[in-house]
Amino acid sequence: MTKSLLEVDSVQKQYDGKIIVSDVYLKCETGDVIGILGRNGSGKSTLLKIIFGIVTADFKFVRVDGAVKSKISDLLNEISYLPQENFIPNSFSIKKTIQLSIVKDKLHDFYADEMIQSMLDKKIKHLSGGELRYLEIKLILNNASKFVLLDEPYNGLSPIVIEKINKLITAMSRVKGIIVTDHNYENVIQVSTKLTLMKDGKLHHLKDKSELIEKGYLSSGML
Amino acid sequence: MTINMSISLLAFVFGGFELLKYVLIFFGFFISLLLKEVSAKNEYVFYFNNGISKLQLFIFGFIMNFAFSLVLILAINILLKFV
Repeated sequence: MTKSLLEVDSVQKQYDGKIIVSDVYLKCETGDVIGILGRNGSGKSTLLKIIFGIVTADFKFVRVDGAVKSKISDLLNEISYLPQENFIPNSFSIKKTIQLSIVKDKLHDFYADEMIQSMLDKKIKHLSGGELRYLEIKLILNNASKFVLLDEPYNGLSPIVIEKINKLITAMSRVKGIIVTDHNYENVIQVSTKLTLMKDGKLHHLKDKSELIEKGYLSSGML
Repeated sequence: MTINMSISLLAFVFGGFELLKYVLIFFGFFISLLLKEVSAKNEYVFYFNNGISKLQLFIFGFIMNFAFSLVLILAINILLKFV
């Protein structure tokens, strides 16, 4: 299997004179699960939106396998993005949504999931918050993109579903590069192969999770 | 489409068939886009994740709306001849 490489370099974003994201460098390869932690308003979500291209940056370089990608249309087949809010149109049926997002060869495996089977005859608007989030994450992790950006995937999910999501992230990281950010730090730490901390708009690459305490993100005893 | 049809119906009631044609093809379509932009912007991410850009969506939506409008206008024209 060929490995792909996503590089995000020199990202800068200011809003009303306040630095939101500054001089970020991030490298994600197939097989990586990069966890981005950080306090509220530290710029984590903005960084993911900038990488995906739905928020403009004052300056940024996004490269996939060495080729610079400057427009959102360049990245459409390379990166998938899970926003914090639900994104599947409410009027869609589950079957139609799955058929639009998943290639035919993978449909059989996709439908084999018990939780997916239980919702197959429903419409998006009839799903509970947890069911919809699970479906969204599963769709994004199983589509054809090389990289996945997950913004708060654990939000509103029960512990058992979170466990399923973690297994899914780990399994799909064999064929994709994944960047995940969430306030549920225990699960982010558990699932990540590399940890980073966003603080004051800057991205700090951590060698060990104990640095989360040193850098003031967690209190001692929280790990 | 629901929004476009509602606006077009109002145009028909207050401005007649001539106004309906323009509203159905252009004005109603753009108002629908505008409302989507304001109230359901997040849904674009679904299409982005499936490799479809905003421009492709816009062109496809316009062509579908145009084709539907032509059929509807033709049907109303025929109906008006018999009334």
